[in-house]
Amino acid sequence: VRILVTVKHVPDTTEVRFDAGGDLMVRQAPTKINDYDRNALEAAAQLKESGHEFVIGCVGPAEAAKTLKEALAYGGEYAVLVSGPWAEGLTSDASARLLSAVATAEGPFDLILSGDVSEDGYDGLVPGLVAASLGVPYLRGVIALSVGDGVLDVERGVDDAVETWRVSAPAALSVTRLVNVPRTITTMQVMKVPISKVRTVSAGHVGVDESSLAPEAVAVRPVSVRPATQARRNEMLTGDPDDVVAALISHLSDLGVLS
Amino acid sequence: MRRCIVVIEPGQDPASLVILARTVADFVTVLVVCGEGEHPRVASDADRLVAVAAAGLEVSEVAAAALAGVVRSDGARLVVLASSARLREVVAPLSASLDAASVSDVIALSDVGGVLHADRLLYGGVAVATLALQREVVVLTAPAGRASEVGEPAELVDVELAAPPAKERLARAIVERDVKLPTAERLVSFGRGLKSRDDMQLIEGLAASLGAEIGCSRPIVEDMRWLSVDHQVGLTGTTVTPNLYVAVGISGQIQHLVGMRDSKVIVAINTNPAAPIFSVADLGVVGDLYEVVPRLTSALAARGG
Repeated sequence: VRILVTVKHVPDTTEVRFDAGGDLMVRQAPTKINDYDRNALEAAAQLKESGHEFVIGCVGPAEAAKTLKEALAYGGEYAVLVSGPWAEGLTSDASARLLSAVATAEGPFDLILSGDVSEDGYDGLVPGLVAASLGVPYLRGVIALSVGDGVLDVERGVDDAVETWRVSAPAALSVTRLVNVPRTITTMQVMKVPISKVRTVSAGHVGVDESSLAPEAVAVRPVSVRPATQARRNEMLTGDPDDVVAALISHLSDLGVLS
Repeated sequence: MRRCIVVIEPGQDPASLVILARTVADFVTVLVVCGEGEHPRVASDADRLVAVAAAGLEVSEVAAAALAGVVRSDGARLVVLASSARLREVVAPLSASLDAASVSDVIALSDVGGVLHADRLLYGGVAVATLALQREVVVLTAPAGRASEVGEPAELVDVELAAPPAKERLARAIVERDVKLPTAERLVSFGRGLKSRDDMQLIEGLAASLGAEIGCSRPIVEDMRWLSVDHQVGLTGTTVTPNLYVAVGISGQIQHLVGMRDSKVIVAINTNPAAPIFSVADLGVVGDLYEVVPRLTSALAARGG
């Protein structure tokens, strides 16, 4: 089968901070392949070992090309990066439209493979929206998959149950991190990937009108970002561990949560 | 006037979703999606309580088509789905069918000149993003708890079932749970701050001294594989609302925060004073869990819980 693996280039969320002026420092954070997409890449790499092939699709800023070199080290034929001035702040609906356009332009694909969510937004909508746009069946939460003759056999976790499904290709699946343990990619393996394998294209190239990506045209438009605060006491206890523990127990007792 | 449909599965409590919906809607219907022959009872102060019950609704595309029909005939412009694993899969096909704007894990809604604005957490919970939902119909998910009351029987409504896509559920096995996180009064949860699997005895000791269940963050299940997923608190695990939540060595990724931020009292123990977990904590202990936890355990044991 021929597979499209979707990959998101994300900031390392543990490094994202607000500066003293209240501005979000995202650009300064190191970037990486979304962890969940590594599991999708590993699943594709394992399928490649049994004779299948995969292509990588990504929507993002021009510097995502570096991320895609690393993704290609899992064994992809080539990667398509759809990029443009609209790439910053792109929300799920527009990302999904662009990725389904990639699937159509570079297709046909028997399987669209994604990570369940991205670490930065944790929205989890893109794989399903791509599937809906392409009109193919979709399953999320995949923890095991195998490819048969025109069918995909899938196990997935749903709340308190594990379900077994059979899906006809073409289909879209998104995987959790339980599906496999991604192989280690070395710096040398990344260096050996020729940058020519990353094809950076415009939205128009895959048939999406740029004006439909404008802030007033998209379904979901980012308005603002502010530091998260909660109506909590936020009382910080520091110092000698014995004193801290005594203070903590005293507070908990006052709050009535100890018996 | 804006009408809203809140969608839940049997056993979920619609209360928090109805409260969220009422911030922007005047008429709220709670709809329960169930299997053939089920007659769910739900405790809710919604304006209307209905259920759809049919074979085949386990297929997300079929459920989405059925819900789209209900939404169209109701005239609702807002659909709020409980963020369970199954309903999350319904969002995309439902949204596509209604040409809606969709967004996940909404914590607040507002109406700005007729356009809905939704707040949700970003970047590991350090930021709140406000998003304008620029379509006539909006489909979103928000966390819901487990129902504790039985409530009223829901009125069954007929739905048109679409032909299923090329996708079939062959089997379903319930995973037996030895922990009961959704109903726990107290929870001790730990994360990557714990250095080795053997150190889990520290957590077990603290939990025992509090009479608490043990939870954990995602990496403990998915990366370390020290505990099964039924211990996992958060988006891909369980949403919890105990009276006391003690987060030990948990930095506070968004995935975790959305699963525990509605706990009554939250205590966080972490070495990093900048950890996002402290932003949702009532009491934050900046310190080494290896120094704090044993002292806390023995002090609690000394006072008898």
